Amino acid sequence: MNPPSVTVFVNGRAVTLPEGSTVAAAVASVTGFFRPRPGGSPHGPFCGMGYCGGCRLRVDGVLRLGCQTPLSPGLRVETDG
Amino acid sequence: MVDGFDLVIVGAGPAGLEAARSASRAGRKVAVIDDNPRPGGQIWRHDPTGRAARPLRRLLSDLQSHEATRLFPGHRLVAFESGPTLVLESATGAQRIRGECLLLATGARELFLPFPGWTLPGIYGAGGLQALAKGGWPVAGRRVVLAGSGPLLLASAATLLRHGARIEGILEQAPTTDLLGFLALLPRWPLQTLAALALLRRLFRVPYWRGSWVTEARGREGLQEIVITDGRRESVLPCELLGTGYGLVPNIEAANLLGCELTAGPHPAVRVGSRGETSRPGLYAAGEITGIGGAGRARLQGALAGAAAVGDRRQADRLLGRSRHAEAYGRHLARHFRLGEPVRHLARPETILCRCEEVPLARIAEIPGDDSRSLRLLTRIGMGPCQGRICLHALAETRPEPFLPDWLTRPRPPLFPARLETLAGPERGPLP
Repeated sequence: MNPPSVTVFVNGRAVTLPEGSTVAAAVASVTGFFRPRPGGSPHGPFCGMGYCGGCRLRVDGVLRLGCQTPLSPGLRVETDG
Repeated sequence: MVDGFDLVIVGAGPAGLEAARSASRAGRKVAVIDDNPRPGGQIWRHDPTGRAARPLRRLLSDLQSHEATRLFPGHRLVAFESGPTLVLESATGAQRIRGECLLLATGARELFLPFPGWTLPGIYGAGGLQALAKGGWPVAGRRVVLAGSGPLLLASAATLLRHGARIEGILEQAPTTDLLGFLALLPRWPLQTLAALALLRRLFRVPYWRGSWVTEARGREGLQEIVITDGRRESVLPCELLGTGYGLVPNIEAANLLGCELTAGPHPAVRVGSRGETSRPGLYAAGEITGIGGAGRARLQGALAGAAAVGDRRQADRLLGRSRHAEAYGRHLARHFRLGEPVRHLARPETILCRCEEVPLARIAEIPGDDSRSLRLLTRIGMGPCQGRICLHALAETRPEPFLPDWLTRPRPPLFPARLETLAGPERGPLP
C-alpha cells in the first residue's frame, strides 16, 4: 500500500511526494539549485540534520530549513536563484 | 512563557528521551524540546517507509502515559535568558520555557575532512545523506559511495539500500588491523554486537574497502566521479552521490554558552560526573554531547542523568555499573577508528574549507598564528549559517598544534541563525 501523498509548490511548480517527506526533497525533485554561495557556486543540503544551513529557503514566505520542514498540503517554497 | 517544569531537556534522541522517562517515572513534570519535527534524534529519525524503531515506540508510549510530560518537537533552542530561560524558535513563532533543572542531550554532528571537490552538488554527510533519504530525497537507482570512518557509514548504507540506492562501495579509512582489533573485543558489548551483525547481514553484497579513502571528487554541474586510494594506488570510480563523514563531534554549543566545563582536544565534549552533572549546578548533560559512544551508551547515560537530575538517587545508582561499561565502548570505538594522517591533509590550496563563505585553504594559510578571531575577521571563515560547526573542526584536524577557536573561548548567542522577533520577544530579559 502506498502512503498518502502531499502536493506542494516549488517555485510555482506543483510537486507531489509521499507524506512524511521534507521540503528539501520536494525541491530536489524540481531543481538542484537551492541558493548561491557568496562566490556564486551552488549551495544545497549537506548535513541533512539542520545545522549547515545549505537548505535554507523560503516556505510560505518564512526562511526555514528545508531538511527540517515536513511537507504539508499547499506549501509554497521559493528557492533563491 | 511556559513555566513550572521540574526538568527541561534539550534533545529528543536516545539520551533525552530516556532522561525524560526516568524523571517522569519519579513523578516529575518534564519538558523535552527538539528542533526536528518528530522525536527520535538522528539514530531513530523517522522514516516514512518503515516502522519506528522499537525502543523509540516504547519510550514514546511510556512518556505518553505521564500527563505532566510534554514534548515540544519543531522547537529550536536559539538562546538563553537569565534563569536560565530557554528561548525557542518554531515555524510559527517563538516560545520561552523554564524549569528547575536543565538537562542537555544535544547529541553530535559529523566530522568532515575537506578534499578537492567536496563542495560539489551530490556530496553530503554520510549520516546527512541517510537523513535526507529518510525525508524522501531522491536516491533510488543512484550510484552511491560512502566514505570516511566509523560504523555510521554502514548504518547509512543500509538505509540507502532500503531506499533503492545502488551502493557501489564503502570506503573505511581505518586499516584492516584496526578493524580486526575492533571486532575482536566487540562481543564484550552484546547489544552493539547484535546491531553490527544486523547491519552486516543487510550489507553482505556491498564492497567494503578497508584502509581506503577518497582523495578527490570531480564533476561539471554535480558529482560524476571520485578518485579513491588505498595509499598506494589510485583509481577512478564513477558515482552520482557521495556520503562522507569521519566520525562524530559533540554538539557542545548550548552547554558552552552556559559556561559548562569542556574536555580538552580539538573536538571538546561536556565534562560530566558519573551521574551526568556538569560543572554548573542544576545543569546535567547526557549522551553524545559528553563524548562519542553510540546510542546504547547515550540511553544509559540519559536514564541515569534524568534520575539524578530529579533526585532519584536509587535509580541513578542502580544504573552506574552498566553506564561505566557502556563508557568503555566509546573508548573502544575511538581507539580502532582513529584517523590516519593522510585523510587530514587532502585539501589543496584552492580547496574550499569554509563551505558557507567559500574560503579556500590558501586564504587561511596566509593568516599567521592561531588566533581564530583574526582568521574570522580577515577571511570570514566560520561566519556563515553554520557558524563554524563544519570548518573549524576541519581546520583543527589539519593543524599539528592544538587549535582553540574563539567560538569556544568566547561563545555568544544566538546558537543558530534566528529571527529578530524571536530574540526581541515581549519577555526579553538580560542575556546571561
